[in-house]
Amino acid sequence: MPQPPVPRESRVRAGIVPPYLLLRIAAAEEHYDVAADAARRSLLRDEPMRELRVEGAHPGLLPHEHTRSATTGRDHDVEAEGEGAPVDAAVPEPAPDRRISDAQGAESLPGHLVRTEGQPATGDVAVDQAYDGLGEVWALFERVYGRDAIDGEGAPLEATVHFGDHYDNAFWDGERMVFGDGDGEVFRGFTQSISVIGHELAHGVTEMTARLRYRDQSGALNEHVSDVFGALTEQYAMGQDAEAATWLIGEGIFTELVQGRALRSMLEPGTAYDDDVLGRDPQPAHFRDYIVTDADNGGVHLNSGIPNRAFALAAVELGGFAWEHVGRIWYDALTGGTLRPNDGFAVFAAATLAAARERYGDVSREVAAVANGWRAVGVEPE
Amino acid sequence: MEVEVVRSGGLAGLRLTWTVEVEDQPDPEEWVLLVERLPWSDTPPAPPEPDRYTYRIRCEPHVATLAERQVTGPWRDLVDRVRDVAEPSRRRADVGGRAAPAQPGAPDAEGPRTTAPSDPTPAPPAPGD
Repeated sequence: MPQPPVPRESRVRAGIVPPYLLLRIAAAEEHYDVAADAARRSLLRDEPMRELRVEGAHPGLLPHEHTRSATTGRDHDVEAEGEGAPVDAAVPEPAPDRRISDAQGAESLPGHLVRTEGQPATGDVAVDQAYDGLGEVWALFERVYGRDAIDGEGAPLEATVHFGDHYDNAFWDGERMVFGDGDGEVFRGFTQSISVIGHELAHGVTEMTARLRYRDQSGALNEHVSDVFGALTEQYAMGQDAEAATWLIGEGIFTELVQGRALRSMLEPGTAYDDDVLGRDPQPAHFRDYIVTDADNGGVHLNSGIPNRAFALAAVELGGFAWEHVGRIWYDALTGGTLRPNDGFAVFAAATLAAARERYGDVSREVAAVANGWRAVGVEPE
Repeated sequence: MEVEVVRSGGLAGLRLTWTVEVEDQPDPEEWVLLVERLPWSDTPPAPPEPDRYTYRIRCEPHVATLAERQVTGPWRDLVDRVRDVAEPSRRRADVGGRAAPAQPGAPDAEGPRTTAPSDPTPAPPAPGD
């Protein structure tokens, strides 16, 4: 696919976060997780991310920069980066590189490039929602997990909107996120929901890391990982803790004609909608109800309810901001290099437990919460 | 002659089925011609794209499963025609009894599924499909 030679004005490519800084961040976070959790939470509460959504033009992520200096700069190991100290001019702040294209109702990709990084809002709602949403997903991955964009090296975040005629879906095609406008009867446009945008981008991250095969249990895990980071994107953007979070995926996607809140509920799978036309949300919430089917690549959008509930239960048990503990554990499991493409629920559960032990210690609330989550949905780690 | 198109997958995981009874159409000959010209045996498996639709197109004795990006040319003509003349149904044959009101205390009925292995064995097609 031809890449227009868009100059990356304000950002310097490659590396983005130099290795020494990554080491510092890691070192700081080690302390951080156990020592300064409360401090960071209160700091985040003081600057709710929803402010970002007020001025659509630049979720230039300014409020996050305070968060960042709090996570990396206040720790005793990293005095060199104390707050307010001028940052080394040679180390540019990482920034997203968003590119939004418009398919103008055709089913061809990528469409016309209509908004690139730093450009003002276009006035096209879908274009601007996609741009803002991608900024929020990027912020979650970069600020919290230290991952710059999908590949971790700052590659462009590409999205196409207005795909197809009344196209009622959104998907990841291996290179970009693609959003339809919806049919207007069941679905409104798909860019309205940050959790959907996060879901699609996370498919790219999975493809770059654990490469979970999109079929049967590994496919349901692929879907699950996308729901996890979709939900966490929304929670991070809104400053919601696990208690306040809706745990819904795709809230606001249905038209008002549909009796339902969202596409899925991570906490209570099977309860997101109950509609005369759509029927009832078919997601199982327990492994004994695993659905064997040939459709939907082996029911990947159905059986994801099982690990989704395990994750949400663990998050609620721990309380606080889910992206800081369970989200980090899941991210470690996804990117740790131990998962194989065909792994199923049991192996994935074991990977999350191993990641929790690694980060928080064998005897920790985090390990207990993750174990309880999997137990509650009938998955035995192996 | 019946033509059935099942669309599954998608971000929402909603399944739609369109069914056309060719004899009931004003132009059955055209339908027959279209169906016979479809490259039924030339549908290589495509790598799945996350959240994208999958189509299963059936007209006895033929059946083909296509990724959405493979639904082009004569396949697209057929799918568009089917969608033009038929209303979609959202029945969920694959979910079977589970779609019915909750069955409290019936986990044993699903016993074998709890041992569903983590191996990549493809699930068998749902009965009645």
